[in-house]
Amino acid sequence: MFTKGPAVSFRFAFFGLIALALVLISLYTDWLDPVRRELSTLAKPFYQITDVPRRISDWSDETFVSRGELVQEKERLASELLIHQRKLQQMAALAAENVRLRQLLNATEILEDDVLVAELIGVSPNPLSHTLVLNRGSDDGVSVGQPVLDAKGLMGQVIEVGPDSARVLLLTDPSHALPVQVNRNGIRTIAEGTGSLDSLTLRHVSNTTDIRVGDLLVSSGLGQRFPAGYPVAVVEHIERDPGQPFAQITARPMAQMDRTRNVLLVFEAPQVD
Amino acid sequence: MLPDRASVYILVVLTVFVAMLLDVYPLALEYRIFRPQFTLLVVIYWVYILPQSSSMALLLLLGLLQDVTVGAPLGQHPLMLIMVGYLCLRSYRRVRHFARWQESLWVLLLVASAQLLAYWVQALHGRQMDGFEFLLPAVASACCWPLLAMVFDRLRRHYRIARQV
Repeated sequence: MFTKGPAVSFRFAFFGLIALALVLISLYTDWLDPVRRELSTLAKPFYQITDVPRRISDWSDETFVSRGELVQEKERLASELLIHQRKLQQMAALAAENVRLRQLLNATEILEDDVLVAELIGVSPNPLSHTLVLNRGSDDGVSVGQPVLDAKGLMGQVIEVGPDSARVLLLTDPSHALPVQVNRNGIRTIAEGTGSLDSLTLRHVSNTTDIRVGDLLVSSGLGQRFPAGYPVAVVEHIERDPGQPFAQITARPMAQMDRTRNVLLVFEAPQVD
Repeated sequence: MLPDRASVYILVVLTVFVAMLLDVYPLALEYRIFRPQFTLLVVIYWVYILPQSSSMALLLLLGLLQDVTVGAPLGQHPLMLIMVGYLCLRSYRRVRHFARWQESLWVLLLVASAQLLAYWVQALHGRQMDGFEFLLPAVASACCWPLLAMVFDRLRRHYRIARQV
């Protein structure tokens, strides 16, 4: 019993050094990535179990609902469908025209992207990082770097893939940035996450740049990671201080970062040379 | 009396599992900062009860598992657990004579030092936080400790698990 002191210290030094080595190795190299990928299968059950209460409340919301409400919702959806179909009719003509014009310009055709619907099964417990866990993984063809959308706009990208789950980094994470352009006039800039779920900042936009509150920012496709043309955010606030080299611009993301349940994983169509 | 080994292990594993579930339970972003470090608290409790059976290797494995469930950089949780485990093993004889509120204060220190390590690892990976917000989980954990210790003492009495000397 009295010989235990040094033994404990020795064990602490040994295992503490191992842990420290793990931290440094995962910081400076990617040797541990395969280990992480294998281990991530262990994480999925935790998210599935903690998702059960929400599943139950979703189920009861669907089950114990009056016929009147269902009829109402059906009517609302039918009218929404009608509106979208009308837009689609126009789209078909516009797309055909676009293809013809691009052919005239000798530009490559823009192909339609494939999508896969995934369900959100968990959110990161770490208040510093904005990540989500999805129920699709490499078995469904998901790969690292794949863009993730919801119905309103771009949400983020896949950063970690397990066989049947994937971790998504949101646009609003402080370590995330993506190239965007203003839809109105094509000005290119970079939107960075701020760590708050409802704002992005635009970096290095000069005071004289033509950018207004309410401008839509779409992905520019320049980073070779996100496909071009998906809505990202709406400019919410601009502060032009002549004493500062750049204007301070914040934008509100289009995607509903903390509300969406179903998301779309985009598979980019192979480029035609 | 000697505890029945199997039942002890089952109880420890079960409580750690439940704590890990609580650690990843989805919360709104505003409340996430107030989440106590449940797994760490449970580990502290069991190391104080069973100091002779606690193993640093197991803490390392548990930490790795926590890293993947929580989505932290590999090594962060092993580092926290091993440091806290060591402090507990060095101090368990003294802490036994503490009153509950003194225990709480001690837990505040333990979790705060673990949070400091976690914050360091997160900062290495480029995630920063303003001010001392990262210590809030330690305060939440200290507030949670008396309740947790009471419930676990009851469980322990029910399963007749004695403290190791």
